[in-house]
Amino acid sequence: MQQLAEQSMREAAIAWHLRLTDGSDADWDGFADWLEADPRHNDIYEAVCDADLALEPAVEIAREAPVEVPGVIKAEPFPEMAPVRSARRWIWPAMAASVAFVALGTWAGSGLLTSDYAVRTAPGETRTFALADGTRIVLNGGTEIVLDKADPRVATLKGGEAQFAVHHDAVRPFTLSVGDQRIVDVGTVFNVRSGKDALRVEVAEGAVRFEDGMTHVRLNAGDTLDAGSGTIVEGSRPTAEIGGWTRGRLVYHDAPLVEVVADITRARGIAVELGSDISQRRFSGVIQLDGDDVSLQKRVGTLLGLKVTATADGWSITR
Amino acid sequence: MTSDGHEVPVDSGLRQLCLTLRPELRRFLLARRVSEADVDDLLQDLFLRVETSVTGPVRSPRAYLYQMLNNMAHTRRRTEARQQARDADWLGAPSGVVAADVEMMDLAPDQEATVLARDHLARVEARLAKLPERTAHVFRQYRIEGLSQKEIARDLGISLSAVEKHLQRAYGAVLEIRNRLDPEGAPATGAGPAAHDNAGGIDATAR
Repeated sequence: MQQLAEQSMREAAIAWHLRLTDGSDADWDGFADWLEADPRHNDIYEAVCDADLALEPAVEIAREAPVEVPGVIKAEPFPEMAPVRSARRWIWPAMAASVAFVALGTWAGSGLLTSDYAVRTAPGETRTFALADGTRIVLNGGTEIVLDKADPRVATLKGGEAQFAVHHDAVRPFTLSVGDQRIVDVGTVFNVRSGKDALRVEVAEGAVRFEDGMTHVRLNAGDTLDAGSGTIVEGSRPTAEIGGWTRGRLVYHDAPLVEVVADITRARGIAVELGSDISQRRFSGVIQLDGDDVSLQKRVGTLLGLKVTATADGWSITR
Repeated sequence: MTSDGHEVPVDSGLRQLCLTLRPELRRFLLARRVSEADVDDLLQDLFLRVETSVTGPVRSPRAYLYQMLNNMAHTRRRTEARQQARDADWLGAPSGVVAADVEMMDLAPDQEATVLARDHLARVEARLAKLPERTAHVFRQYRIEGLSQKEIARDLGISLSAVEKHLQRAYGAVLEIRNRLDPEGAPATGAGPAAHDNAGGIDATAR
């Protein structure tokens, strides 16, 4: 009897979980009523959410290396992608992923007539997806990238930061455009950050070619490049530190505080105001990004040796 | 999909709505069993996020706020659960062993996680294979390929509620399979390992 009751509560929890990915006002009201009807409902709902979230690693593998399932592919939503049998059909839906817990991203297709589409993240939101050719892209917060569903080997970074693990194909190199600059992979993992007038490329594995019409530079693992207002500066960085944000940590060697603060805003969606007398300061160290905003606030204050106060808009950092 | 279709300009509109809806959002968080003490904290957090991270006009703003808050409540509970598990580990482990354990955790190679995820995927696939073909297909389209329920309904030429039924059934089956990596997936103390795969499937301790 009790098992039956549990079973039906669980079914209801699953139904809510499914419906609330795109819930109407009325759905949210109904959900609140259901929660209030029995204190166990929330627990069961949470368990369902957890179990669904726990599927994510397995689902990511399925997206990267699709399992051919005999006799299943009856409805091909994008027939133009059909010719390549194996990976193709995963590509584009994976990008559209509006899975329960990434509801905050703005997904903007640019219409049915062009094959370009944009994927955006809000500050504080990261998003991982795979392209048809096996290339994996991780978007940091506050980032916009334009992809082409007819051609998985091109992408345009409109702004923000992303890490690319590119599946190498000598015949069709993967090309990332940022403004009038281009980064062409030579089989690699690389991180790109694009702000106003400043582009930074860091190569973690393999190599890329950087082109801006005037210059062609080859960057190998551990090489970095800063391009901004007409100058190009090459540098280096330990590969283990590159793309640290994808692993929840920010690593700095003598970096200006402005940069540190911009990274925090991007990764966590917290607006930060920096006192003008300290904006020239520099920081070396590792900032772990886990935990809630309050514990991060404390940690950042300790690490920087500065006062971090929560304000109505975010944080204010002062001496 | 949404009962309230007009767009609200982000800056002032959503913020204002946050304030107006505060009482009902509070009530919702309490129904989500967020402690009284944490409710205001989360609402404050919501307010900040609305100000800092919402970039485009929002359709159906009330549902949008609920969605954000619902996700935040879930995330917070998970974070707390992890924290507690960590604290328990620290307290439970004999001193001296702690450091080594922690180091191990940090070093836990991606490869191991990949192996576990593959194993999980294999079990999910095996479970799906036992379901009707179309049910499994709808599940894959939704959960793996990320299509919306509406898109799936359109592609297959079936009703939205039919899609819901397929998903309901597939989720009921698939969510019983626990990822062995997920500490919260561990069976209840006293319930024994048999509880792991039983038909009820709900792990009463997964708090």
